[in-house]
Amino acid sequence: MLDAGSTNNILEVKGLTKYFKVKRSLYELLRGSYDNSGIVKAVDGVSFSIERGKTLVLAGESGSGKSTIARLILKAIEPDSGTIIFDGKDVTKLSRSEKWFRRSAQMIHQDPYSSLNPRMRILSIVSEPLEIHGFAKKEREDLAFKALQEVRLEPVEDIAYRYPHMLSGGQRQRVAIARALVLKPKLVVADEPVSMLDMSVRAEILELMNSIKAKYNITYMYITHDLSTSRYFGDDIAILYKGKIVEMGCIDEVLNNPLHPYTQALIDAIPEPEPSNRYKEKVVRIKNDGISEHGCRFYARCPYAMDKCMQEPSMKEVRDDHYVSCFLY
Amino acid sequence: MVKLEIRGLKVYYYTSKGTVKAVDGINMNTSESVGIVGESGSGKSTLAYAIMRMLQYPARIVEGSIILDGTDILAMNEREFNEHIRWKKIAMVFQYAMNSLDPVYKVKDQMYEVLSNHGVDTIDDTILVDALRETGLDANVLEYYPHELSGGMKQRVVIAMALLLKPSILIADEPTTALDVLVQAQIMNMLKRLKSDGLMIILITHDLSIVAEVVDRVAIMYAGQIVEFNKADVIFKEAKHPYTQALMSSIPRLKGEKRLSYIKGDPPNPFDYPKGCRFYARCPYAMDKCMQEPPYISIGDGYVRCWLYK
Repeated sequence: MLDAGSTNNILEVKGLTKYFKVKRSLYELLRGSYDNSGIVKAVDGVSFSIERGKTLVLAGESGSGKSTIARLILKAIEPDSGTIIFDGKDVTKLSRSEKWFRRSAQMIHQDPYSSLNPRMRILSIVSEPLEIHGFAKKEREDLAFKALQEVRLEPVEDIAYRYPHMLSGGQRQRVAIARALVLKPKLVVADEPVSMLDMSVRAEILELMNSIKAKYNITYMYITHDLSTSRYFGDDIAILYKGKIVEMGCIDEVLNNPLHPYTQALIDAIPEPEPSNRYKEKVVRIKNDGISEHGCRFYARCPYAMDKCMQEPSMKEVRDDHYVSCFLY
Repeated sequence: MVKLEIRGLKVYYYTSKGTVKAVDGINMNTSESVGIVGESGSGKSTLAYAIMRMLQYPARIVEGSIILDGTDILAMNEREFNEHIRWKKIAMVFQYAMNSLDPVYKVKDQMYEVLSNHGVDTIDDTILVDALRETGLDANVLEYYPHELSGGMKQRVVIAMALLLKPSILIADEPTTALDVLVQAQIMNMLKRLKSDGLMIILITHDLSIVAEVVDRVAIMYAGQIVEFNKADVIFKEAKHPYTQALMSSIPRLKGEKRLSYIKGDPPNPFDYPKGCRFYARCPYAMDKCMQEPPYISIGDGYVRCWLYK
C-alpha cells in the first residue's frame, strides 16, 4: 500500500493536502488573500496507492475528509499540494480538455435519490456519458442497454424507458452503477454506495459490484463509515481521522488486530446482532471531543495519550502489511 | 395487564392511483420494549404514526384497536387523546428529527414550546434541565442554538423533548441512522439506560444489529404485516419465518465467514398485495398451501405466520 512506484498501481497519491477556509471577511474576499485563521484541514498530507484490480476502503467518520479525497482524486476540486499519479501519468495538473481521464475514472454517489436527474429516462441517464464522449447514437443505445443488463435491471426494455421515481432505491443505485460503468473505466470511486439502502439490498449491490469488478478488472476506492460492510468488499483499508490516515493495511489484518486507539474505538462501537448485548453498555473509551492542532490529531481524545504525542507521529509498518501512525508502537 | 396491545389494525392510504394497504392486519401485545424491523415500505413508520394518531390524509385507520393500559386510544376523541395520551404517555422521536429543530430559536425556547403546547405553564428550567440530564446533556445546552450542536447532541435534544412530559412509551424511528458509529453507540447506551429506568421503547429500524443491542422483543414486518413476533433471544437464536432467516443472514458481521446473502427479488406491489403469504414469490420454501392466508402459529410468548410450522 505504501510501495510507491510499482507499475501495478493504478493510483498513487502522495502528500495530498486540501485546506478549506471557513471564515472569510469581505475584505479578504475582495483582496483574494487571507491569513491562516479559521482553516479546516480537510485532507492533510495523505499518501496511499491502490493496486490494479484491488479494492481500497477509505473509512472514517463524517468530517474525516474521506469525501474530499474522492473529489480530489476525481479532479472535482484542486489540491493545495501533493501529487496524484493515475495509471502512470501525473494528473495533478490536468487541463479540462483532457477527457481521457474522465473516461478512466468514474464515481458512484451515496444517494441514488438525488444523483439521478428526475426528468431523464433511465436510458438517457446511462447513455449521457457516452454522448459527452462522442459516441454515435446507435452505439450509445447498444452500450447503455448492455450496461443495464450488466447490473441486472430486468426487464431491460421496460426499465430503460422509465423515470427514476418509478424505481426502488436498490434499482436506482444499479442505474448509477450502470452509468459509472458504461465508459469502461479503470477506477471507480464509490462514496457510501449502500448506506441509503435497506440491509437486505446492501449485500446484493455489493455482490453485483464485486462480480463486475472481477469481469472487467476494475479497481474500486470504496468510501464508507461502516466497517462491518466494508469487510465483505475490500482488500485493503485505510482509516482516516481528521484528514490524516492513522492506520492502514490488509483489511482482515486491520479489523482483526486494530492497533490505533481510534480504530479500536470504532470497532468496539459497532452494534452486533447478539441479543445478550442489551444487558451491557457499549464501551466508548475515548473522550467525546477535542481537536489537537499539533502532533497526533487524536491526542485530546486518546485514552493512552502521552507527552510524546504532541509531536507528529509517522507511519510505521508494525506488522506484515499493517501500517499505523501512533507512538504506542 | 399488558401495556400495549394492537388488535387487527389496518391503515390504508386512499390515493388517486388506488389503495395502499400500508398496515394490513397487525396483532401484537407487549409490556416490554419492542423493535419493529422491516424494509422500506413495509409499513413500520405508518404503524408508529397510527399509535401516535398522527396520520394525515389520504391515510385512514380502517379498523382495529390500539389498547394502552386497558383503554382503546383509537376510540378517544382528539381532545381527550391530546390531553391525556400524546406526549404524556406516548412520545415519539421522528426520523431525521434532529434536522427539524428550528435554527432561529434557542434549545430552551423550543423545549418550552413543547410544554406550553401541552398546557404546562411553569417557567421553571429544572424540568428542562432534568430532561436534558436524562439524555446526558448539560444545562448549558439550553442557551445554545441548534447550529452550535453536533449531530449527536441534536439527537439527544430531540429525545429530551420527547421525554419532557414523562411518557411511559417512547417511539424512536431510526434514531441513529444519520450518526457516526461512535455517536450511535452513545445514543444506544442512552436508550439502554432509559429502558432500565422503566421506559418502554418502540424502536423502528431496518438494522437488526441495533435492535439486538437495545430491545427485548422483536416484530418483523413484511408488506404491511407482522410475519414473526417474539422475544429477542428467540428471534436471534432460532428465527422461524423464512423472511426473518433471510434478514439474519444479510447482516454484516465483523467476525466469521465472509459471505453475505441477500433476498432475491423485490417486495410485492403495495397497491396489489397477493393473496396468501406475501413473501411467497421470494420464499425458498414456497408450497401450494402458501397461496392461502398464513395462520398464526404460537411459539412461546410470540408467533410466526408461516405454513411451514402447521
